[in-house]
Amino acid sequence: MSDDWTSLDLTAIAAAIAEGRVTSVAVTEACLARIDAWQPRINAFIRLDREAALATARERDRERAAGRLRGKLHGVPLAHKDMFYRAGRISTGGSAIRRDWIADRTATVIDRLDAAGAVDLGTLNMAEFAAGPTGHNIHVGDCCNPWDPARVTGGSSSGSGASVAARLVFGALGSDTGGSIRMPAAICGVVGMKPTYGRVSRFGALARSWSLDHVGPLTRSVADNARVLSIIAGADAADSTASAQAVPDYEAALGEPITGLRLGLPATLDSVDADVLSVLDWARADLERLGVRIVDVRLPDLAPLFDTAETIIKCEAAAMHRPWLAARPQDYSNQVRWRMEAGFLIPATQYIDALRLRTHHTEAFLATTMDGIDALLLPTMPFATPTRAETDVERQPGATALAILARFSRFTRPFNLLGLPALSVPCGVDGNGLPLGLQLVGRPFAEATLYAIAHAYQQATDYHRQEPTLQVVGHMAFLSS
Amino acid sequence: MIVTHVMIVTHRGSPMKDRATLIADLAADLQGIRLEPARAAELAAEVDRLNGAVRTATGQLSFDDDPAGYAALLAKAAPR
Repeated sequence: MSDDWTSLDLTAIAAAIAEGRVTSVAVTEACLARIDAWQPRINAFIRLDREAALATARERDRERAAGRLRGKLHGVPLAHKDMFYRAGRISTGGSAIRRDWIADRTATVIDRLDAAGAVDLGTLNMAEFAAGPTGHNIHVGDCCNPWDPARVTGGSSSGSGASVAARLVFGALGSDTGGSIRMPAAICGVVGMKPTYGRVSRFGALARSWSLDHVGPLTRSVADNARVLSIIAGADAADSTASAQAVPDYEAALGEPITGLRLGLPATLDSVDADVLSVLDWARADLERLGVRIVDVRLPDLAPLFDTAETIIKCEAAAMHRPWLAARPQDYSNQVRWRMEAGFLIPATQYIDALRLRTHHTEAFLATTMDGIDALLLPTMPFATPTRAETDVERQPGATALAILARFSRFTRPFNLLGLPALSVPCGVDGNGLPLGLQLVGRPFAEATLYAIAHAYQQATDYHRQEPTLQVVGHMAFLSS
Repeated sequence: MIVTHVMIVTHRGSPMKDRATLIADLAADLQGIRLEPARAAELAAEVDRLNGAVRTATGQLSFDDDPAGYAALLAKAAPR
């Protein structure tokens, strides 16, 4: 019966622990049992810290018994993409190069979750060095979609999406440089927030591109997401790009009325599958019933935003990986190495101009597409979830796989360049029965507006309540445990 | 008197094969990276596309545009 606790969402289990209806140890054991059952099928964990997690849970229970609750996550089991450093613990970044690297600092977001009382179960699968949109990983094994292991999870926060969807954890952190929180959230059927650039500290998080990296939570519900973001957001002396903007009470904002809010929806969306368009149409109708006003908007040509973002990513990645690329190129997968090589050959002036152009692109987007609206409604992914085989550019390189990969981040990457908050929420299924997500994009630091709209949507729908079932046991194994 | 002549070449008319060679030479000379001809050709096309896109857009930029203006823009646009 203890497994039943894993069916509650984060805010509900936090309340149950705080009120003494269940112990943190019992909840942690239930999560561990579920991980044992699911890990062979989906390979979501890179490392499971079983004993450490139980020790922390016991400590949380002792604290509660003594009348002390650390915070709003007291005793709640979480796990995170294997790129958030904890001093003294291995942090692989999903790579072979850092297979044994022990972190020398603790990420600010991990410190804040610890302070709120969370129990850390271990580290989650991810694309090598957070570079890849599918969930493939030749070093630690692919992360597989809990709805259908033959299909991709999305990446690079593959384990975060898969573990939250399979109810192995109550929430997980991811990082997003071109869609790496939102894509796995959409594909796995969970909620993923890429906050405004600077809303969450990046200190102690392995970088993919300093200028475009965003840290955020993946959770089962919008309310869960709001809680985690409220804990991790805010200024940080260790990260000069972390904003000093006051952090609103995101949970309080969930109840804000949304009637009359203006939601922009492009009249036409090119290169989007029919499944996706029809689900988006249903979402539009649901949102209108909730009182939101849908407004026609025009998206700009997204190609310049892509090219500017690509220039920045490639140059920054090339700079940070240069020593390893020189000394041990064979330890990279081909696709990760290929993704950054151009960065060595782009003139510094072009890189600097790309950074300067970012302001212009953002100003223009706010003044045109976002003018007069409270948020923008888009699909997160433009197509139904493909299989791992047809997108495996490492093992079966070819034009078809590359063409599919090129479309993954069509609606996500532009908002990394613009730095705008973007939330992916489950909104239906594709023709194969796999989840699809809608994306709400807001004005800078307007995460609360996105949460209010999405929470109202989840009160009226049950897409986020759907969960995969365990049927097949495969042959994958832990790296360590 | 020192006279410096700077010529900015805006014409991008050299054949791709030559640019692949140029990219291979740049990679070797400036970065110490050896590229196979086929990979050099792929990178030449990629670099050409990205450089062209950024260069085309730089008409929007003025002397005083500072990359740090981006964070200020986000802060200015935040809800009050």
